[in-house]
Amino acid sequence: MTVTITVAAHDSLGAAATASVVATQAAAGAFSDADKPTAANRPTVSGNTLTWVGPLGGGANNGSPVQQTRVLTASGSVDTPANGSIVEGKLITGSIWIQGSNITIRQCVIYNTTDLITIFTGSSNIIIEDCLFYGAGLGQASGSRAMPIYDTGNLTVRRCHSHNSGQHILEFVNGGPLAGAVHTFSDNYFHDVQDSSPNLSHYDVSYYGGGMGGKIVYEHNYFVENLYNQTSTIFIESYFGAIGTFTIDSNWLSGGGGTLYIRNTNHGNPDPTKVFVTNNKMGNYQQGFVASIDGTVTHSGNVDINTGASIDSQI
Amino acid sequence: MSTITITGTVTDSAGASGSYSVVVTLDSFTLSAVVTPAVAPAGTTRTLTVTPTGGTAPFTYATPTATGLTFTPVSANSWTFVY
Repeated sequence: MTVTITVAAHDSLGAAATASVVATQAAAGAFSDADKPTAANRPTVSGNTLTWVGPLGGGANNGSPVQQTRVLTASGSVDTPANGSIVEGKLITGSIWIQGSNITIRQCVIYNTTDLITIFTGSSNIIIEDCLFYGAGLGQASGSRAMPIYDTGNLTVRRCHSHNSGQHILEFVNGGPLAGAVHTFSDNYFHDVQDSSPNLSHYDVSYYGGGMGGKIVYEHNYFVENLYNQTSTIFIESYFGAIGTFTIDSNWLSGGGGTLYIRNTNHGNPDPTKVFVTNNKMGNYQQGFVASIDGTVTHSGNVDINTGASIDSQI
Repeated sequence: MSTITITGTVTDSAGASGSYSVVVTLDSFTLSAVVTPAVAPAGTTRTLTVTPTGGTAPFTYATPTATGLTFTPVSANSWTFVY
């Protein structure tokens, strides 16, 4: 469905001109490559200046995003910010350790050669937005993560950019989201999983080993895993416990041995039944769109990232 | 803008002549319009921006028109709308 918009103007001498442009409503569930999260619209840093595209003042994606810049203040590690605090505008050489509630990390750059942002057990209502957190690639400590997330309450990570930051960008530890909690990741650009030990058995943009029964939502992110050809862009398994609700909707996903890897690790936990994979554009990097899938995965509207052809028959 | 050059010759009663030349400029400009995002789900807030090329500033813009849409000004040449 489209609409044509016409606008007219005249100049100071009376000459007139008109222009027309078409706006299109995408089909239900579809989304456009025009606003794919990339380095062009997610946070980047030059010197001590952060540039990003997002709503004025941060917050949810309400209204029109605009390109913004901010001069950051140099800082060391941020250790356990107080409940209810906002940490913003910092150029951090070091890490952030969070163990609290109602904490926002906004418009910061975090660089370190080990874990970057750790969200410890019991934290809740944490928001991380418009941040760049990155590591040293081959100089990164073996097995480190951009964001290890322990058994925690609600968490929102939006419009962030992470790269070269360890074995995993996201790793859910101790079961991840608690029962009743939701961890939502939206509009993020995560790419280039890399550390100093390229022979480790797994490199994933996201690793979730099951556990606490909470919900994880990935929506409108661009996840790319293309350095070590393993293991997957999103790896979900029941190693530590049952797999909770996992919604993967309207993302660009590419890389790894298989872009999706969803399995029952046979540790006495049930097959996954609450994984939803919908409306994604997925790459076929090495072994296919899917490394393997156990249990029941609900899927629809998924297409080849390059051709647009449906790939639901392969999920 | 396009121009036209007018030339002519004038001769006096004693037979002397001179010529003249003058350039006339036709004021005109073109207008381009961009919607961001152009393709998005229904209900998305979008931005329309129009840009003139040529002409003589300042420019005056009419409120855009489209069936069923309401435009909110952001600047002289930019509006938001929901579609």
